Formats: sequence, C-alpha cells, structure tokens
Amino acid sequence: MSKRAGALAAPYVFGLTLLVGLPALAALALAFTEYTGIQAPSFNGLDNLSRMAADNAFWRSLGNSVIYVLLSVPLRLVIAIGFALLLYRPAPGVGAARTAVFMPSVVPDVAYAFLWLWLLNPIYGPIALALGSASPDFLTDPWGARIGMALMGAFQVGEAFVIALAARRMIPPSLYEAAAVDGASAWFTLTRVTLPMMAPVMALLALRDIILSLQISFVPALIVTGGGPRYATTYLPLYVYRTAFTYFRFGYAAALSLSMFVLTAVVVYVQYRLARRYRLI
Amino acid sequence: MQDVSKSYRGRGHEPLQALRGIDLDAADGELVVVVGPSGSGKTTLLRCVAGLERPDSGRVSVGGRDVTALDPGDRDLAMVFQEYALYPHLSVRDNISFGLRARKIDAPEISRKVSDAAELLGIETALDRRPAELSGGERQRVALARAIVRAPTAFLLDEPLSNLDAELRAFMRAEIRGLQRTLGTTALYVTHDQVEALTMGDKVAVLRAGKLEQFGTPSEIYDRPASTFVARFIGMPPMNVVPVGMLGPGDGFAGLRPEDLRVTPAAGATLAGKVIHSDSLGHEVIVHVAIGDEVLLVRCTRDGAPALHSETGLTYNDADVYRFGADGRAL
Repeated sequence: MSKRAGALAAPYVFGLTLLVGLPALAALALAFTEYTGIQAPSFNGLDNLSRMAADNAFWRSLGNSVIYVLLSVPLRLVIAIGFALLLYRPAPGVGAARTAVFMPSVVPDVAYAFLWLWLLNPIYGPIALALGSASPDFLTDPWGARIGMALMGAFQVGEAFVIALAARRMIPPSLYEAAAVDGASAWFTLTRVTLPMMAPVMALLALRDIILSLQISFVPALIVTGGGPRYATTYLPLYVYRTAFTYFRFGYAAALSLSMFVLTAVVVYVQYRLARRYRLI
Repeated sequence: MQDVSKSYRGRGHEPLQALRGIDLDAADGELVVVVGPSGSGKTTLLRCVAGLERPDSGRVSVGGRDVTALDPGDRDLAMVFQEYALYPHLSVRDNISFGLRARKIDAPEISRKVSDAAELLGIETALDRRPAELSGGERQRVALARAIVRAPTAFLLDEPLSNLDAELRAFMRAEIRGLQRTLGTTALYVTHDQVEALTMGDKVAVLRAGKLEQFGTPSEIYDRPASTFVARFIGMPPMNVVPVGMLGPGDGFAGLRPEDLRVTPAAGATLAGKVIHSDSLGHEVIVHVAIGDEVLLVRCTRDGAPALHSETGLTYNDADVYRFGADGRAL
C-alpha cells in the first residue's frame, strides 16, 4: 500500500481498531472469565465453553437462528432477484418502483419493528382484521411467530435488490437477441441464460444474507415477539443480549457471541472462496 | 424486403430515420452483402430482417413467407453477431446446441447435428471448452456452427469478421464464403468493409443514410457506380470524383479511378499539379496530386512515381471517365 493510500485509509482504520477491533479483543478475553459487572473479571478457563455445550437454551437459540436463516434467506433472495428481473429495464414508472422496493430498507429498524408489531397484532392488526379467523397466529403460535419474523425480513431487501439489478444489467443484450433468434421461450431463456449468468452473484448474495440474517433478527425479536412465544424466536443475538444485560453474565455472553463469530467466519470463508473462483474480487 | 422504413425516437432529438423505403431481394442460395459506412442503417436493416426490430412500414419475407409480424424465433433464421454472443457459462457443445434444445429436438439428433457442424468447422476438439478458453477465430467458428446447426432458411451475419486480425479476417472471408456455397443457404451479410463486399457477395447493396444507394453484382457496383457516393466508397484506393469543369466544359462530376490515371511531364499536360503526398505499398505507390482545390490519387508503379513536391502532369483515356450529374447520380 502506498503512503498516500495509507494516509487516506488511516481514519477508517483508526475507527475500526477503536470501535470494533479492541472491543472484539476484549470480548475474546472476557469469554474466558466470570464477570458480572460488579466484581472484577476472574479467569475461569474453559468453564464458559463447557457450560455452553450443556446449555439447552443456547442450542435452542442457535437452532432458532438456523431456522430463521432457512426461512428468511431463500425468501429474501427470491424477492430481491424477482424484483430485479422485473425492474431492470427502463420503462415509465420503473424508477418509482425501484425506489419503492428499496424504501423499507431505509426505515429505522425500531420504527420498522413497531410497524410490524401493529401489522401482526392478532386483535387489531390489519392482517388479522382482513383475514379474520383464517389469519395465522403470528404472535401466539411458535411457527406462526417464526414465519412472521421471516415475512418481516422479506421486505428489507434493498441492497440485495440493487446488487441483483446490477448483475442483471451486466448481461450483454446480444445474448438475449441470440436466444430470441434461436426461438428460445421466456422460461428457457430465464433458466438457461439469465439465472446461470447471475449465479455467482446470487451465491454471494445468499452467503452475505446468511451473515446478515444471523444479526438482523435481533431488533424484531426484541420488539415484536420478545423472543417468544415459548422461546420460538429467541435467536442467538437476543440470547446473548439477555445473558449480558438482563442476567449480567458478561463472561458467558462473550463466550456465546464467540459462537456467532465462528459461524460467521465459516460463511465468510466460503464466500471468499466462491468470489475467488468466479473472479469477482 | 419491400419498402421497409424504420426510425428511432431519441430523447429530445429529431426522430432518426434509420431506413428509408428499402427494397432488397436475395435469390435462393445467394449471399447478399449490405455495405455502408457506420450509421448508414445496415445493422438496423439486418435486425429488421431478424425481427429484433419492427419496421415502421414495409414488408419482410423469408422464403416467400411474410414474417413482418412474427417473433424472431418464428422466422427460421440464424444470426451471427458481431461480438459472437456466445454464452460464457456454457460449453462450446451447449452453445452450439442451444437453439436445438430451445426447440426441444431429441437428444440423439442434437448430438449428431452438433458433431456434424463441429466437424464442418474443425472445432471438434473444442466442444467441451468454454468460450473464454477459445481464440477469436475459434469463437467465430463456434458462432458459425451455432448458426448452421439449425439448418435455417437464411443466415444473417452482422460484421462477423470485425473482431479478427487482418490475416485471420482474409482467411475467414474465404471460409465463410465456401461454407455458404457448400450449404447453399441464402445469406445476408452486413459489413462496413468494401473489400469483404466485393469479394464475398453474389450481390452487393450499398447503403447510405438509410437509403439504398445501389444494389447489384460486385462488378456492376465497381464498373457502373450509380452515384458519386458509391464511386467514392467502393475501390481501394477510391475513385477520384472531381467537378467536370476540371476536365472540360460541362456540369456535374467526373470520376477517374487511380489506376486509369497516368503520369506525364508537367509541361503541356491538360492536368498538372504538385505531388503533396505518396503512400508506398511496396509493389506500387499511391501518389496524391494537388490540382487547384482538388487532390487526385494516382496509382503508379514503384519506378514510375513522381518525386514528392515535384510538379507532374496527368493523362487519361476519355473512355475511362465516369460521368455523374450535378445531383451525384450516374449519367
């Protein structure tokens, strides 16, 4: 890196070190201690990790997070890519439609969560009012809540939508003209040209969305479901948060967040390999 | 094509008339070359035939069938694109068979046709590779194989050689011509290169600003250019077109090919001027002679060329003079 580039990157590197690097190191150290916030942290070796292995609540929240990923990532991808394919072409109204697709992503998370608290409300929520007794029990049934959370995430796909839009626009038009002259149907063209050409970007989007989904479940679970019903939406971030700030077991919470770190690292590694393979970086 | 017109509406611009009343006809098995400078509408013409553009008016027929309102895929045409338009994620085999698979042809038949086409073009060994692993010439062959494998009524070729280097271009020119003759398939070939037009076409259509300037055999185009535009566009180096007044009394324009002019001593010559530039091509020299405001190109032998900056006279036979009216049309 040249001196100039180093100088330009310095403020960011400084902030990153101070706000992310050092706290991460502190959390790593904390993970091997007992710390309540009242007394000084005391080193307890691998106690936190062995406690984790035996902690049903941990495994349950990990499972909930995995379920959230499985429900929400495919849904979000299909929506982002579907809208990208629908709106990649310039036409009257397309600009407004693209903005509309992006809009939910710029709503502050907490405001968005309160909106959904109202939407999903079983008594006065518009979904319940519209569907009556046919409405799923979003807040009172475990699977209803899990599906409700996934639905909630399905609208905040702005960034994936923009990336998919760019990927679609990068496909040379002549490929579609060649397919048209060859008599390929719209479906044949979609499955043999468009989707395969977008596949590397879609794979990266999927991995990025997995990482994101491990984190973004926090605010909705905290505000809309409170982690319930019956812990069905107590995802890993919420469990870590409660362990630390409700039960003041900071050492154990740090150890729990290490598991999130390991999970994320694995996904990032796969993403990196994939990007290298398709020469996207 | 009958009376085909097409215009584009650009944002905030005057509508751009890309084609104006084009009549064009290729007999069965003929190779018709459409040639013209960039912006003359030749690619638009090809795209109208392919169905990638809808003409504003006029009719397009293929094999006696009116296809004006049909989708590209229903016209039974195959097209070779300038950038080849190969699918980068598919193997050569899958690229060639794409159109057959789109039409749900049986797998054994596809495999037989692909092998035949690959053999014809000498790309059997490349079948399992991806386009990115091929040379320019090989990609060109894959694009051609993809067109011939469908055995269409006609081929459409859009400047297929423009991405190849000069040597390969000359080679592929002969190869495409040979292939087209072997298959006996009608072909419409678009190029900006008049050498390709003269060497490859059974007929040549010269396009200028969306209008058909002349349509005829290569020798008709060369020997009897219909206008000063065609005269200047065809031939290497191009014909000299000067006001008739330079050669004698009269109106309009006169054309003289560089090979029909001969160098004489300056004294007493009807045409005399100064050599301002000369291009040596090895075995011959193209001499630029300035006479008044005009510059005439003269093709000379290496030994017969006058020296740079010298005064020289020029002579010609009256029979070699092409005559054009004041409107630029041939008389």
